[in-house]
Amino acid sequence: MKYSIILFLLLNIVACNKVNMQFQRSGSVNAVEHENSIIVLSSLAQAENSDKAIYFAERNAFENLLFKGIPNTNQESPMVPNENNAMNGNATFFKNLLNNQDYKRFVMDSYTKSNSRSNGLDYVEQIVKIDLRAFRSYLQSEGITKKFGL
Amino acid sequence: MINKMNKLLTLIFLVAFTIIELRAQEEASTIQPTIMAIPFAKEGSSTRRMYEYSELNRIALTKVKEAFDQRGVNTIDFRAKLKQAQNAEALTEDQEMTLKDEVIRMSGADIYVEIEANKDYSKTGNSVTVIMTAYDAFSGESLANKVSSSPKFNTENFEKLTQKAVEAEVDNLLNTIQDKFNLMIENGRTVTMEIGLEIGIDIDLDSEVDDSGYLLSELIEEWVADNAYKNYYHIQGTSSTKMIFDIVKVPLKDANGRSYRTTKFVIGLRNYLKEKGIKLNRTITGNAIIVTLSSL
Repeated sequence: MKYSIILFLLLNIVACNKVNMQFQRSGSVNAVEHENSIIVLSSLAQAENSDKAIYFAERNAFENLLFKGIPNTNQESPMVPNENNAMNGNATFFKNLLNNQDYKRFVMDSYTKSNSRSNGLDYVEQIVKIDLRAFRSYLQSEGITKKFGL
Repeated sequence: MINKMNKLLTLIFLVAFTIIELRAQEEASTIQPTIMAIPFAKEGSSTRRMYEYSELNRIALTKVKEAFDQRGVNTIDFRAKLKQAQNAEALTEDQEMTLKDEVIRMSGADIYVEIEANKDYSKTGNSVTVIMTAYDAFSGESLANKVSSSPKFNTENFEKLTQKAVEAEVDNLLNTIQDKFNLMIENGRTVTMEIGLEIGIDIDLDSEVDDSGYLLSELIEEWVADNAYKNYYHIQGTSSTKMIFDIVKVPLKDANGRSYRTTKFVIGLRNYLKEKGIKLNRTITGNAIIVTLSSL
């Protein structure tokens, strides 16, 4: 009985210490190829399981595209010029797009190029193919970015 | 219960209507500029020749126009405007050289993009390099420059190579132009103003024209400071006979959301100087205002 209590407590401690990683944007997004209205990105991320790591990698790709721009592609400047203003004025939109994975509507293809596990975390390199034109039109229609013009 | 439901539905309808209305207003307030792609013509060669004699330039122009159209930008067809502007047989050599200006003027384009395409041959494959330079037709100010090379392929299909080169950078070109537009919206558009005196006028810019104790040039500068957009201006130089403002910021839109015309700025100065007994004549070319002062 005494041992079962100790075991129970130990299991509880382990369960409590289980990593619950939150998404953090990183610059680990690189261009694989781009043509006309399509962009293919390679994005790195890690999380406690591979599904979550894949989500983080895809979200990272989209956030870099939106707020930072991707060097050596057809979208070098950020799609959203001012992240703070956009986030403040459109919190629900960005929550749906990024947290609720609405961005998936613009993912033409997404696959894991490499996956490894170390120190209880899954590390993935995700290749994400994005329909840039449709995504740009969507941002315009939702009033997040404005149409080309003055 | 039904009454409450009706109230709720009315509220939802009103909120939705307001959102749609706001969006429509925002959409309408965006001025969609027109863009025309033209071939680059170096010193001594005409725009028409660069277009008609270079297949590569024609391909590049078409591809750039296609890319703009796909992005939803209003484009003007250079070929159509060229035909309109010229009667090739009737043009003299000198007229050929000014054809570019004539086509830009006639087209009414807000922006023109000069395109230069060159073939690059090498043992490892052929490629095409396209240089795209966007200018504000109003001021002649450069808005964006991009140089793009296609990947090398063992092919003579230069059309495809040109397309690859254009597609690689055309979005960035438009994004850079948009960045410049955003800056213009924030900081206003630049105009220049040169103020001179009519021959025979009995005052100069160093004269006192009222009881304030200020010189005429100081009064003008004060007025410009008060009326330039965000009070931003810069004087290149002042003498007793000439004042040169190399930067005067004017807004892009007036209070009613319409395009702000440079003439509006001069009207304000004219009315101000009228009160001082001074007549203002002006010539406006693009973003340059030339003012001549004379006695009333």
